[in-house]
Amino acid sequence: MSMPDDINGGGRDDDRALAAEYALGLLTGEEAASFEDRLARDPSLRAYYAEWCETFSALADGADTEAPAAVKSALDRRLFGQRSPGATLVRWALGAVVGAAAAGAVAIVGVLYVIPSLTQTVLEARIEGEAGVTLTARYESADGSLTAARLEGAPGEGRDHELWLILPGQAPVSLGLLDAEGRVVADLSVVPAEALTGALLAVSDEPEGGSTTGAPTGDVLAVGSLTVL
Amino acid sequence: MPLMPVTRKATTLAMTTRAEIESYLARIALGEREAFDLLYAATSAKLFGVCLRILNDRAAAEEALQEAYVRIWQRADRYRVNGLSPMTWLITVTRNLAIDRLRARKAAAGGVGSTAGEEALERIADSGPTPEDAAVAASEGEKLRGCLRELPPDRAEAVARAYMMGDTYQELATRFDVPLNTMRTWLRRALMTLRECLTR
Repeated sequence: MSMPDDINGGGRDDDRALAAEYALGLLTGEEAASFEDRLARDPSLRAYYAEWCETFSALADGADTEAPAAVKSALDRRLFGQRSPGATLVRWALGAVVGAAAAGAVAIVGVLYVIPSLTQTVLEARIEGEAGVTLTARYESADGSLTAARLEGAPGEGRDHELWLILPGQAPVSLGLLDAEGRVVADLSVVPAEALTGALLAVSDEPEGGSTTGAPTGDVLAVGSLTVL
Repeated sequence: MPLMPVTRKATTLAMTTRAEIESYLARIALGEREAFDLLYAATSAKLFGVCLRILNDRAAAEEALQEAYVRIWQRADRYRVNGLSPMTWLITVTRNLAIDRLRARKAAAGGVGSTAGEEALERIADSGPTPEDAAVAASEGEKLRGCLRELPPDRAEAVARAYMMGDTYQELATRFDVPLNTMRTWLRRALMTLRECLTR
């Protein structure tokens, strides 16, 4: 590549330099706005911009410092207020169905799913794997409950079995720990039966009290999918 | 069927892959709070480091970090638009917010003469990675630092001041005592030379 003496002459080098100036925040408001206009339409400009961001980010990187815990609590209060833990599943389930939907879209989904719910759906799953842990699960749309019961394979000393629901393309969501009788009952009334048909259930091996990360941490012992009875 | 995260046990960034950060961002876009907590656990030390480097003030850095995660929560669905890698997107969002604050502080302090962030600049100029540098970041950072050293020192300083201190062309022109247009020509040439060095 030759030295770009013709910086006002247009062309690739000019765009590269412009992308760098934009990434650095050196453009005036008007220049930046017109750059953003082009950015939305021009993939090569986006590639230049991305390249500069990668380059410059190395300047800011490399001095990791643990942030005080108070920052996260303040952040949680600001973003989530006093929301109860259970509400997350509601939010997630709605999100899974309608995407990052506007309130209006949520209302429409509510209407759409009230009607089919008049006809009851029952789904069942056999959850099993090579680890010798087997469960059956049953979901009834009438009350939106999912009940799973372990048939064989108790957890080891100081370990628990945790049940997970995995919708297509989604990360696992915990439905709770199997209790001393090897049972778990989960309320899935916020998830439409249609979304659950074919969904996976999985059991993972977890430390006593279950995963603390929000995702399975131990081995997946058994898997099965919910199918129409 | 994505049973992928089953063996993850730790949440430090060094052990969190790009794919995991991408998956957190995708789940955050759906409003999943757990994914947000996981992303925070994996990336907040890095982003707090960015805020501290730029603002050089703990209280201001904490506020900027909070602001950055609010933005991340709100805009996770848009991170792919410009094709940045997920970590670069996080750093860029954070850097831009910290720079906004720094510029506001400079304006409040009466403009160009402010010394805010000078120390951050010295730390970029430091040769050699810090012990806490992750291996990958260190090698990329080293390469960049090496290429900056190949530039005339005042050009390298101008690039660093623009990125880490949010200096405008006007501020740079005043500092280096050249006309604004000359400053712009200088810096653009320096950037292209920098790119040439980085790609060879």
